Amino acid sequence: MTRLPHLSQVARARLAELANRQLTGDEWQAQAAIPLTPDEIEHTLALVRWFRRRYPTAADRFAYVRRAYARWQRAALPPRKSGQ
Amino acid sequence: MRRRAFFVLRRDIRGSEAGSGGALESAPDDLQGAAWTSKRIILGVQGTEFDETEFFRRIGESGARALLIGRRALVALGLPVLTADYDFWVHPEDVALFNAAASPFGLVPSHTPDEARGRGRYVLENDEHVDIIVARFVTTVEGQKVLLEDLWARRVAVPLAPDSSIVIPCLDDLVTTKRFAARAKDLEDLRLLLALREGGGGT
Repeated sequence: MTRLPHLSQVARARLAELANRQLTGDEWQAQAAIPLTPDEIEHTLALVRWFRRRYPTAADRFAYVRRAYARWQRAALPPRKSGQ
Repeated sequence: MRRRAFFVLRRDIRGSEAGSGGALESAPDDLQGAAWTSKRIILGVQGTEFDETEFFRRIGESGARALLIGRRALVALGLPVLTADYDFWVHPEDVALFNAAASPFGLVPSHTPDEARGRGRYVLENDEHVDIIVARFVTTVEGQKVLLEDLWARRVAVPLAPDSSIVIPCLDDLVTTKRFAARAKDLEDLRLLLALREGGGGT
């Protein structure tokens, strides 16, 4: 299993800031106008096929996302020192 | 974790008030205090289990016009994206109904229904975090006015359990909702949804 790098609070905050940054109208228009490539479509559809096959119902998928998010949260935090 | 302990304890106190506290209620005051303390610690480390299916079932049964939007709607369609929150778009007249449905899960509104209608947004929160848009319409980044009643008329029910389903916008409308906030992450989600649509894959 790939180990995620531990992220500092600052790095986590920065990532959240980038993801949540509101784009200007022009930025949005420019980015949204970039057409999807056939590879991008196929890659997305392959992910969807895998996800739906592995977790056939919406309830299964929600449960998976809850577990995955909790795992990601744990992995992204720095390791606890002994005694903490 | 502190917040979690608080809400579990609060739920337990409510149970005690309803007469289910058992021996604890008849104990001497000093013992009651000690018992509460130990109970609080035990409950605090147990945490709460959020029954997501039951949560959606109650919302469905409440009669509130509430659409699940945001990343969890993408997950319902089969897109493997991570999220911690729930996002809903609720009709302004149905805020109280929605809150009542969420109340058994310890979800506490950040604002009264009147305040929420004035602000256009509020939050329900305990261990879980639910962001709610309260509006008859929202304008996209391109200036398109999107009416909740139109999305509601075209809504799609995704089964969760034999007696439970979630209600989300149809795929085309979900694409439109990604144009509301126009954040960088909305753009990523938009491309995923467009790819899904290209592949003909709704529910």
